[in-house]
This record gives sequence, structure tokens and C-alpha cells, in this order.
Amino acid sequence: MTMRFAAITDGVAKLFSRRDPGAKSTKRALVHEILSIQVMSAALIGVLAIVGLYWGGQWVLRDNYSRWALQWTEQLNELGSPLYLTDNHESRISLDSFVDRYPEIDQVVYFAKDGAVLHTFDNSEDIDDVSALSDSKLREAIEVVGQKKPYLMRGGLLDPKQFEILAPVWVESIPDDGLFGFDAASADNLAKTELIGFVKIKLDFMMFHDHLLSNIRSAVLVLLGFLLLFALYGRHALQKALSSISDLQRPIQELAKGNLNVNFEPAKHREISDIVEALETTASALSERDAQLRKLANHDSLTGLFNRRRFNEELKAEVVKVMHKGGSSALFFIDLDQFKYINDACGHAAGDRLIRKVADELHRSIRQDDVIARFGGDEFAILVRTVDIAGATASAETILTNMRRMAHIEGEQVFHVHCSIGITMMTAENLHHDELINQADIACREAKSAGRNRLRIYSPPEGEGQQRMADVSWMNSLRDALDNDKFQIRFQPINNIATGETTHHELLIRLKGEDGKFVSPDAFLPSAVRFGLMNEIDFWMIRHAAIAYAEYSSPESRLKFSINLSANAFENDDLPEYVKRTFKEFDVRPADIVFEVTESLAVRRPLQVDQQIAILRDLGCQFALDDFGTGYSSFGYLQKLQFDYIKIDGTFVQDLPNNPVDQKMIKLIAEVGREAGMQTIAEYVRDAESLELLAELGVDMAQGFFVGRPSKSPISKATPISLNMRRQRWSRTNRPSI
Amino acid sequence: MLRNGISAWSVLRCSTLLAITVLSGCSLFAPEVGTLDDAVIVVVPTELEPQKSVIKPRPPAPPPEQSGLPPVAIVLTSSQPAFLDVANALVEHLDDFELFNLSDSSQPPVTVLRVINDSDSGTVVAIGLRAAKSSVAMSDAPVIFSQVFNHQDHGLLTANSRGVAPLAPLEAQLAAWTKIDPGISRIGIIVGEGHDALINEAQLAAQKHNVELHIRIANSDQETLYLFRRMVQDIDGFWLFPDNRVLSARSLKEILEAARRSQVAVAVPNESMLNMGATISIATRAEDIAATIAGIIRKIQSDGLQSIPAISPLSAIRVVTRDGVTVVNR
Repeated sequence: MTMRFAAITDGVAKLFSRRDPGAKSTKRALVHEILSIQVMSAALIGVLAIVGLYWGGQWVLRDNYSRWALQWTEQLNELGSPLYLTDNHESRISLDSFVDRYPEIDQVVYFAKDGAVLHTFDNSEDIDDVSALSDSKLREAIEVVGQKKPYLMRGGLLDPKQFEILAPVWVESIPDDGLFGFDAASADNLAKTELIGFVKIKLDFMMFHDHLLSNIRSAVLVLLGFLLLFALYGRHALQKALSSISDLQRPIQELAKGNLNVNFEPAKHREISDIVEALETTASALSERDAQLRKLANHDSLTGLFNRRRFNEELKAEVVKVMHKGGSSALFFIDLDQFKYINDACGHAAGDRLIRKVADELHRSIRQDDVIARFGGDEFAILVRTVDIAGATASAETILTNMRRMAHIEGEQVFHVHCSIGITMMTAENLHHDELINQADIACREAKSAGRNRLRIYSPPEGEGQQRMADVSWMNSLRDALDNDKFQIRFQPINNIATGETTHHELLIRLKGEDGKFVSPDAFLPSAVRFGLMNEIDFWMIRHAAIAYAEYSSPESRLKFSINLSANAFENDDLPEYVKRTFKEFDVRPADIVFEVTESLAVRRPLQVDQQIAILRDLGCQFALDDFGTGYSSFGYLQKLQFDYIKIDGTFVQDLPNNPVDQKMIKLIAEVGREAGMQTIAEYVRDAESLELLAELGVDMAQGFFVGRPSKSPISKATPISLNMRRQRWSRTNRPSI
Repeated sequence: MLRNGISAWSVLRCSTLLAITVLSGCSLFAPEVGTLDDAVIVVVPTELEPQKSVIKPRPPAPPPEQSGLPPVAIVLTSSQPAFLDVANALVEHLDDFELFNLSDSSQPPVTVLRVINDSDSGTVVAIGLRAAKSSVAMSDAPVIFSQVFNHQDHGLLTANSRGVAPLAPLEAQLAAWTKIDPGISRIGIIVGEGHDALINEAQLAAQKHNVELHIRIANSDQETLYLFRRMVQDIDGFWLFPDNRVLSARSLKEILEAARRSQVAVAVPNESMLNMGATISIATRAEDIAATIAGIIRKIQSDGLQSIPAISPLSAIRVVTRDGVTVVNR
């Protein structure tokens, strides 16, 4: 019953539900909830009323049955008495017609005083045969003679077919002298009563019962109709009454989506009005906070200029604009000259003041429509919109002039800070956003190399157009390789020079070309960077390194892998989490992983790299500074960046036996590294002589074809130990103890 | 106060009535029923008070003559007016009488009759059925009974007993009724068994007055009611005879109610029934009964009991209608 009731309420709710097509909530609407309760209450009351009506009707019917029965009993009493005294044929006919007149009378039976059946009058075919009255019945019937209710009635509310009345038939007379001086008031008391028999009437009130049920059915239908109307009207009325709440739904949804510029309609009701006021206050506060956060997210905290992220958005938008509308814009990359000197001389606070002053000066030097950002440190970028190369050059010259004129006073010192500006033009042929920044950066480097305090306009090397086409082809190949797992890993051992043993393996990525030959990373990695696929490749490397580790490394034979990470990897805030997750998945011991970071990356973005390195070091990983010697770093950076290994660029090793300068350089690097607590690794070792020499110069490890070629699996091959090393080892082991 | 509670006022009243009766010259043995033309019609107030009926003053009556009748024992069934009035009227005709009331529990019938038998009462007048039954059964003297309707059921007519009609003359009743209600033409009568003489008398009266009688014989009050319901549509008047065997208070009420609904006039033998809805009351008069009894006593004295008819008819009627009209037959 309860489940059926719940199903009915759900059905009623669904009947009146008007869910939005896109709504995903399975919760019921308040209007429907209230309406359901009201409809159910009304239905319950209606049911109770119907039940009451039925029972009340039954009681009334029974009351009526009793009255009719009594009336018929009296009439039959009168009609039947001739049967006892005269057995009048006419009275039989009268009785027949009387019984016929009332279809509710199934049967009338007259009994003699002793209970024997005298006469039977049937009005129904399916009536039982009559038997004489039992003694107990006779006694019961005799007792009611002369009573106020001179009959015995048997009948139930629920079974209208079973009504039966048994009444005594008696005659009365006035006492012998009663009519002389007749007194109506006292005549009843003086009456002589003589019992002459009994009459039994079987009644069938099914007709009335059916009529009552029919009426009740009609009442139920009417009630259902009213319920339906009530529900329909009630829904409308409730929706209207609760409109002030439902009006809040859309603004709150907008608020939840993050749209803080919602309008709340004035509420009609006091309670809702308070809620609306609170929501408006909340939205306003959130909006202010959002603005603050946006400002923080988009601006450099020191200068108030756009930050790198925000500038990139503007740059991308400008790229799209130029792409669609044509024309050209310019991108300036500005690097302060000798800023480090001032920073070191006067302190970081002075450096910050200078940076702010420079930012203000640059801001004044550009048009209102142009965008300026601080990229970090002493680097700035300016987007000069809708300008040709002449205009860009003029604008850059203005900046240079203003900067030359600018004097910064710090304490008792006056500083004149100049800058170098790299310019690249954004045209329909040159619109790749990442490439633009690189070009401007390259141009800036060229300006610095040319003597600083000047500008340089980027010009692409020859064949770059063809290069671009090749890049697009590579992009498709790389995408396909990533999607279909076509990259492969090769393992190249790195050996300890002193022991000749393999300490770890560098993982190198290879791509199989369409001709089946493997392609060097130098061929496709620039394209990957250019088309924003480098991040995916980095993550692919990390994952497959972990897979290889799980496959080849064991507690008895631990392997150590070195993985190259690009600048894009460190730009991804998800890098540490991805590393953590992957290492956990494949049960990689972080201490067995070395991440290689190029020197140029480490130098150009020290803060960001430092943060990521710190997180990964906390995890347990080690770091190697790759291609050391090719970047712009100084030895001072080595201490700051806290690497475990320094990988000496191969250019210093390739011709080592014949190049004393390279030898000196390597010796110096090895010494500094040693002092800084880092181990040195020499790349591109091709022969034994170079290895021998590296050992003499104090380099710790060697990598190259002589040590081992890249292979499909991590192979450890011992390298020959140098003679001097052998001698040194022998002397250490055989030195007599004192 | 006289014997057995009879007051001086009653005596005076009875004397006056007796004088009127005598002066009216009514015959004891072959009463000629006066016509209504001779009757005095007097309008009485709406509330019927039979005892306060007004009689038109007559010339002073001559002093009563000495009756010369033997001692009479008057036995009353009870003190109800129907019996007591007759006794009071009778004593006016008697010089020597003794009154016995059977409703006095200290005097059971056997004791009373023993006393009567031991006395020198020449005649016993029994008023009411109980008195009549006891007297007829135990009296040595001749018994004259009155105010008994179904004497035949109780064997009251013996060699030693005679009766007085319980009803006023039927012809006079019908004459009065048709005079008052000339539209009456079909009258129903329901009575128990054993009243053939009464039925014959009624039929003769009906014939004389061009009235159609519908007569039915009933055996119980229920049957009376049943028969009445069947005849009520065919009649415009119902003549209620006081047969207690086939009447009950219940059936009387039903009959009168049914008659009222069907606009059927009902003539009853008792004025008290007018309050129940009867149209007209045509009753006997105690003076008439008493004079008749007195006449029978003289006849017995002169000619003996055998000269007396079994049931002596009455001659006077007292008619009272529901709307207050009283007709007194001289």
C-alpha cells in the first residue's frame, strides 16, 4: 500500500513536472513538492469523506431499511391476520400484490403460533426453502409482543442481502365493557392482546446498496475531477506565489557559473527580499574579489604591468586579428642592459625600484593601444599594434632614446640604464605566437651581442619558408606518433670514468619515419616546440621512462634513468603531480630518476624552473644541467640552481685531444662542479684518448658512442679505466697502513 | 348523601329527566321514535361537555307518581358513568332498591349475589357485563341486564334473564345522521359475528332512509382495519358499532385517521370518540335505558318474565356532532 501510494505521488509529481530540457538535476521542484502534499492531503480528505459517505450512507440506509421493514411488518401484520382467522382468499391476493409491489421483499412467511409454516409468498426465484421456527426463535419473538419495537431484525451494514425481520402477529381488543365510556388515553393500557402467529420477511436491499455505490463512484469521479482542477489551479497559484523564489533560480545559476554580473529582480516578499539583498552583497563582494584576483593573475605585482600570461593572451588575439584582417603588428622584446650590476650593487630593493621606474618609462613611451608586459627579471615585452616595420623601428628608437635620457638615483648614485630591443614583425606569413616571442628574443640577443643599447629586427634564416612547410609536416607526424604511440625510447649508458661502470642511462626519444628509419630528435623537436606538442612529448617520456623502469629495474639490479625535459614541461604546473602519479603507478623510486634541464632554460627562467625543481627534488629526484657551456650562465648560477650533475656540452669534447682551450674549459668546469658538489658528465666521448683525457681533467662520467651507443634496452658495458686511474687505484689499495 | 354515594344533586337531575321522559309520553314496549322534526336542536360550545348539555325548559312536570315496584337490586360492574348514570336514572323509578358495585373489591360477585338472594329483591338489574354475568349465573330473582353488547358470547339470555338493547334505535340513529348529513348515502359497518339481528335492523333502517349499507364481518381488530381500508373508498360514512371483540384503541385510531383522510364521516356510539376524529356521536340516554328497565320490571310484576322480549329496544338518542351541534330526541 505504501509503495503504491509513493508511486502515485511520483506519478502525480511527474504529471505536473516541467523540467528544462537541459536540466540534469533529479531533485523535485518546490512547487511540485508543495502541490504534491496539498493534492495528497486533499485526496486523503476526499478518501475519508468518501469512506465516511459510504459508511454514513450505509447507516442511513440501514435506518431506512429498519423503518421500511417495520412499516412493511405492520402492513403485513394487518394484511396477514385474515389468514389466521378466516383464511380469506381475497387477503391472499392482497398479500401477493403487496409483496409484488416491493421488489426489496424477497419472501414473506406466515407461521402459526407453534412456529409451523402457514403461508409463503416469494418474490425471488433463488430463495431457500422455509422451515418451521425453532423453539428459541419462538421464545425470542414472543418476548417482543406489545413492545415498542415489536420485531426481531437481523441485518448487517455490509450485507444488504441478509435483512430479515421476524415479528409476532397479534390481535388486540378492547375489554368487554371498554366501549361504554371509552377513553382513548387509557384504552391502550387496557387492551387485550392475543398472539395468533408470526410473520417473517426476507429483504434484499442490494438495489439501494448498488445505488449507493453508484453514487459513491460518481462522487469519486467528481472528487477526482476537482482534485485535478485543484492541482492545475494550485500549480499555477503556487508558481505565482513562489515566483519570487523561482526568480532567484536563474541568477543563482549564473552566479554559480561564475557570472558575477547578474541582476536580481526585486522580490515581492519580505523574506525573499532579505535573501536577494544578501545575494547581491555576496555577488558584489565576489565580483570585487574576482577583479582583484584577475588583476593579480594578469598583472605583475611589482610594476602593475601585464604579466607574461596576460601578454600571451593579447598576443594571440593580435595574431588572430592580423590573420583575419591582414596588416602587420610588431613584437618588442626588451632586456635591460647591466641590470644585474645595479641589482648586485644596490640590493634587490633598489633593483625593484629601478624596474618600476623603467616600467613607467616604457609605459609612457608607447601608445595607448599598445600592450606592455613584464616577462620577469629585467625583461619586458611590448605589442605594438597595427604598425609597419618603419613605424616599429621608430617606436623602438623612441624607447631607446627615452631610456637613455632616464636617470635613476639610488642613494647618492645616479644610474643610467639602457636596454636592448629585439623586434619581430607579425605578418600573415609570420604569425606563430610562440615563434614570435622566440624571434623577438633572438633579435634581442643579437642586439646585446652587437653591443647593447640598440635594436635589432629579426630576420629569418634562409630556407625558413621551406622549413615552415617541413614543420607542418612534422606536426602531423608528431601528432600521429603521439596518438598512436609511435615514439620509441633508446637507452644510452653513462659510465663512471674511474670505475668504468655504468651509473645510469640517458633515455633518448626516437621517431620512426615513414621510410622505417629512425629520425633524430633534432629534426622533429623544434617542430614539436613550435606547434605546442612538446609538453605532450615530455609527459610521454616520463611515462615511458617509468614503464621501462618497471620493466628493467629490480631491487637486485637497480637502474637509474636520465630524462630530458623541455622548457614547456616546466611551464606546466601539472608536472610535479604528473611525475608523482606516474612514479606511484609504476613503483618508481624517485632517487633513480635524473631530470636533465638545458642550461639555456635554467638561465632564462630561473624562478619558474627553480620552483619546479624544488618540488621534484622534494620528491627525491635528481637534476642534471644539460649542455653546460652553451648558455649565458655564469658559474654563479650553478650554486643557485642546485643541480646534481653537470653535463658538459659535446662541443667541448668532440675535439678534446687536439683542443687545449676545450681541455682547460673542461678542467675548470670539473673543478667548479666538484666544489659546488656536482658530478660532471662529458658528452660525445668517441674514443679512448678522449676518455683518458677526461679522466685526467677530473671529469666524473662519460657518455658517447665510445661508452655505448643508444640501444633498445638498457645495456651496461664497462669502459676501460685509464692507466693513471689504475695506478691511482692500485696505490690507494696497496698503500701500506701506518 | 344517599346510599352508595348517590348525591342529592343526582337525584334532582334524574327526577327532572324522568319527569321529562314521562311527560314526553314515550312508550316502553313499542316506542315510537320521534322524528327529528320534533327534536330540539341546540348549539353548544365547541368543547363538548356532555354533562353540560342544555335542555330547553319545559312546563313544570307533575309530581312523580308512586312506582309501586318491588325491591330491586341494582348491580353495577363499575362506577364508570356509562353504568352509574343508568343506575341513577333507574333509582328515580324505584321505591325500594339496593345498589351493589362490583368494582368494590370488598364485595366479590358471589358475596353480592348471596346478599341479593338472601334479600327480598324481586328483580336484579345488572349494568355492565361483569354484573350481568354474575347476576345471570347466581341470581335467584329475574335479571335484567343492560349496557352489554355481546351478550350472546356470554349466554346472558336465559329463562331467568332479559336484556336491554345496548344501542339506541338504529333507525333513529340513521334518521338523525341523514338529517344532519343529507349527503350520506353509502355507509359501511364492520362488526363481529353473532349480530344478525342488529344487521337486519340496520338494513331495515337503511332501506327506509335510502342508504346503501356495506356490511363486513371481522374477527379481530386487524381484520376490522383491513376491511375498513378496503371499503373506505366505496363509502361516505362509517357506522361504528361498539363490538369490543373486533376493535382496539390502535385500530380505532387508524380507522378514524383513514376516514378523515378519505373524508368519510364516522358515527360513533360514544361522545368521547369525537375527540379522536369521529364526525358524529349517536348514543343512548341513561334515562331512556332506566325507563326501559323500569318498564320491564313492571311488566315482570304484572305479566311475568315470559311476556318480556329477550332484548328490549330503546327509544331515545342523543346526538352530538363534532362541531358542537347537539340533538336530543324527546
